[in-house]
Parts: sequence; C-alpha cells; structure tokens
Amino acid sequence: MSEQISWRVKAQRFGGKLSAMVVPNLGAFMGWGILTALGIWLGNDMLKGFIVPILNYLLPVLIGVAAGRMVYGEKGAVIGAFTTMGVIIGSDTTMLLGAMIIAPFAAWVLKKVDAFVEPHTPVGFELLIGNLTTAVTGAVIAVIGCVLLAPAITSLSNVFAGGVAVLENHNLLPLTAIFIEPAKVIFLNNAIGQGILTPLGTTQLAELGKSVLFLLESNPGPGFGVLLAYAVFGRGKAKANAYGATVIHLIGGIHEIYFPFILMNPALVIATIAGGITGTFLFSLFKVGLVGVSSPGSVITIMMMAAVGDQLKILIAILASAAVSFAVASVIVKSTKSDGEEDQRLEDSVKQMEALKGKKSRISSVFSDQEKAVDYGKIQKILYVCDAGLGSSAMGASVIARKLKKAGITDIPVEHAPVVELPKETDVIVTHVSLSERVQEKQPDVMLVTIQDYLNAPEYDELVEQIKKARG
Amino acid sequence: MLEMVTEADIELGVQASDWEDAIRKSARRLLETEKIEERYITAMIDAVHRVGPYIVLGNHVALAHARPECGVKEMSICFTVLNPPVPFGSDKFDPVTLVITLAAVDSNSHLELMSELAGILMAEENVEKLVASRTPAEFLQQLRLMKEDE
Repeated sequence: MSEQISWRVKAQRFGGKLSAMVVPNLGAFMGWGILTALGIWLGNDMLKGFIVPILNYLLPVLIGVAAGRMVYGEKGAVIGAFTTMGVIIGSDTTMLLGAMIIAPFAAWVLKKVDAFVEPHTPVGFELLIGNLTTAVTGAVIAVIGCVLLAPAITSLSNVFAGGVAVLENHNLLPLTAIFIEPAKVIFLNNAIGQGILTPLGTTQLAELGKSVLFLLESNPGPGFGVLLAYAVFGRGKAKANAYGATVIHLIGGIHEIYFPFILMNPALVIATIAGGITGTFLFSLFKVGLVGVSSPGSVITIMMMAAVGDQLKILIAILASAAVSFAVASVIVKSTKSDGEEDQRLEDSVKQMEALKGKKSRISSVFSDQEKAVDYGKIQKILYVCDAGLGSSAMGASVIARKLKKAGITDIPVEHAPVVELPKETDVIVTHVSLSERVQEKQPDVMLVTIQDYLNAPEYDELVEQIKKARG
Repeated sequence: MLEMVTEADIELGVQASDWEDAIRKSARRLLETEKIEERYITAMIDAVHRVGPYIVLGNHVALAHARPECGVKEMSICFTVLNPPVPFGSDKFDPVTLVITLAAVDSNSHLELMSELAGILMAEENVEKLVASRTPAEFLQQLRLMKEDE
C-alpha cells in the first residue's frame, strides 16, 4: 500500500484529521447540546443565554485549539485559537468549518516561520522570540481570516446547509445511506460523523433545537441487523464472534466491530444500506432529532442525547432499520455459506480491515492477536518520554542522538516530553519501564521501546542498528 | 555548560538513611542558596513514589528532578556522592552512589548540560573516578577533564 497512495487513503487521512479536530471537544459539543435543548424546551432565558456565545465563540475556538495542536503542539494550539477569532469576527455564520481551515493553516505557517527563525535566534532569547513569532504570525493571519476567509466560508457553509435543506425538503435524506453505509465500512465513519455531519447538525441545532443529521451515521440499527444475521444463521467462529459483537456494537457503540463481517462478504453492504434508508426515512417521518453528537453510536448515548419526547420514536426507527438490515442480511448469509472456510475468512477480513484503516484497530484483538510489524526504514522522529519531561528523558534523548550520529544518521530528531503531553506526533517512543503502561494507555498505536538503563540501554543500540539496516 | 558548576555545588561522603533522605540532603544546598523552594524537594520525592525509581539513570547514578513549576527559582545543578551508597529501589542499578540534583526552569535551556553529562556518565569508569574523588576540587577537575575528552 505504500507504493501508491489511493484516493481512499487520502480521504481517510483527511477524514481522520477532520475528526481529530472535533473528537477531543465532543464533551463540549454535548454539553452545549444539553444547555440548548433545555433552554429552548423550558424557555429559560438564563439557559438560552449560553446558546449563541458558546456556539459562535467557544466551539470554533476549541476546534481551532485541537486543529492547531495537531499541526504544531502547544504553540499551534495557541495560534489556532487566536486566528479562529479572525474568522469568527469576520462573519455572522458559525465558523466551525472556518476553524477547521484557518487553525491548521496558521499552525503550519508558524511552524515554517519558527523553523526559519530558530537558527538565527541568539541563545537566551528563545522564549521571547518564540512568543513574538506567534504574536506577529497570529495577528497577520487573523486579519487575513477576517477579511478574506470568513466571507468565503460563509458562502461555502450556505451551500452545504442549502444542500441539506434541499435533501430534507424533497424527502431525499434517506438516500444518503447509499453513501454513508459503504463509507463507514472503509473507516470513513469518523470523517462523515464528526467531520461533516457534526458541524452541519450543530448549525441546525442552534435554529431548531434538534437535528436529525446526528442520527444518520450513529444509527446502530443497520450494523446490528448484520451481526444478528450472523449470530442466527452464521457458522463456526463467525457465529461465535457475532454474539459478543452485537453487545459491543449496540451498547458500547463501537461500530468498527461489524466492519469485518461486511468485508468478509461485501454483498452485506446492501443490507446496511437498506437498514440505513429505513432508519433515516423513519427519523424524517417522525421528525425526530438529537440535541447533540452521539459519540459513540450506542443506543444508550443516543437515548441520552435524544430531544425530549423523541426517545421512543427514535428507538422504533432504530429497531426497524435493524429488522430490515437483518432480513436482507439473513438471505445473503444463508445463500453464501458453503463450507467451513468462514473462520479463515473472518480472520482474513480482520487483517484486511486493518489494512483499510491504515493502522491497528482497537477492536481487532477481539478476533485475533497479532504483532504490528514495524518498518524501521520509515522512522522519522523519536520521542523520549519521562514523567517530568526534562531530566531523565533529556539525558536519554541525548544519548540516542549521539548514537544515531555515530551511525551516520543525522535526519532523525530525538525529542523529549513529559508523559502528560502524549499523544504527540512521532514514530517511536522510548521510555523507562516504570512509565510504559501510562505511555501505552495514552498512545497505543506507536512503537514503544522500554528501557531500564538511560545511559547504556542495549535497546538503544538495537534501535539504531535496525534503523541503519532498514535504510541499507 | 558544565563550566557553571563550582566546588560549592559538590558534596562528598554524604550519609543518608534511605533514598528520600538522600534526595533531601542532596537538594539542601540548592535550598540554602535559594535556587529552589522547599516544595521542589517534596515534588522530587513524590515523583519517585508515584512512578517508581525512574530517576535512576544507570551506572549507580540518580538524577533527582521535578517540573520547573514545582518550585524552581533559578536553573541549578548539584552533585552529591553518597557514602555509603543508598538503595533507590532500582532492581538493576542499586545502590546509588552519585545523586545529581537538577532544577530546570524550562524544558530546553539545560539541554546542553544534560547532553554533556550524558556523554560523561555513559562510561562507567568515569562514574567510578568521580565518586572516588577525595575533595570537591578533585571532583570538579575530573569532571572538566572528562568533558574535554568527549
């Protein structure tokens, strides 16, 4: 997969970035949803007072913070928040989308500016000049955002919102399932849910007090139907796994659990599409909605976020979509089961799923345990982590840097950080054994090297050796 | 940056009852010269209670430190040779003979110092020579020689 970057990988990366801007802030979105729903329902002026300021200022700025941090750490977070204010001031439209554009851009520019300025900075002035670059770059980009970007985003937001309005007015919303359901299975679920539907739904929420858009991707009905079909009509390991998977899916809200079952038998996507259309049709018919993002897509969170009085109707629609999906999936599962090869096929599709996701899935261990192979040749950055992030890790980092230099490798920076700042962008994390659990908890996807001896750990030599070997 | 170390920053033959006492005694000089506040010492000890003996670097050396915001007034470092050596609860590198107390003001300004120290402490014979010093002056002289060898 490394030779060519397919459109899917690109879309996934893009979607992953969009959702990474929203996901850390979901709590605030949900909290705002609760205040908004209560305020409108009770007609309480104090609660209503929260609606506009949080929506127009706090939520975009929070997205700006997350987006900026993703690109350039804490400095990126600061400039991301600051420049987001530019697009907010420049327009009356809610600037969630604007924040997603300007904050990463500003952080990226600041990174470039700092990279240029740093070598010329006299010793002792790092802090001062570091702050000045943020200030000047931030001020310039905030003005650009206010004057140029804000009007552009306003028109773009209107187009999106208009598109949704057209779909709703012509009762075409159920058809979105045709795109949403297949896209979910190739792990674009977060991109759709948090990247696109959340901002649109949030805007609707401010006007109407609830939005059906939050239900489109989070509806667990279609996946539940497929898992149920396997639990009833499946065979061997697939059947056994399906039982547990239904609970994780429906109650836990981790939809990834049903993706391998569909990858194993792609025709099943017809079942989830049918279920999705049914669900959304009923959601629209009943005019129900959620007062905020339901993340994860579990029945429990959906019930919690449902608009007052909508709970039962939503539940009926979810069950109906599950029933339709189950009916279609049963036919497909029954007609395709031939022999005992299904076990192997399930494990194969778990592997395929990991390949699709582009990284190890948090749920794949449900199906099988396997070590992630590490490509040492691709390591671009090493991060040394310790508790305080300045003594032991700085010392260890400088030892690794020495060893790399001796091996003739000069393009891999070795940085150091306290464990509380994880996750950070890096290819390898080195840490002391006593911290390995906390590191793994915070950043499970990265290769971890644990050491006991900061000064002469044999693991350092091994790491350097492997990198050298892989580079040839 | 090792040039900033003076004889007064080195203390030899310190007796400590346990590792907590060792950290306290190592840091007392920084406290007396008002480089750190009392709470920085507590923070260093708490960190070991919290995450274990991760401050033991190897070669019987411990690097006592905590976050700058835990009470550092001025960037400083001091060296303490324990006699007799004190166990810090590290399976591999007990007992500890040399405690280096570091008070950093941010995460970067002391990096050069850390790098210099790492270069010296990596060689076990260097650590042995340092702790065998009879006077602070000899310790300092060794340290500077080792740095030049680097």
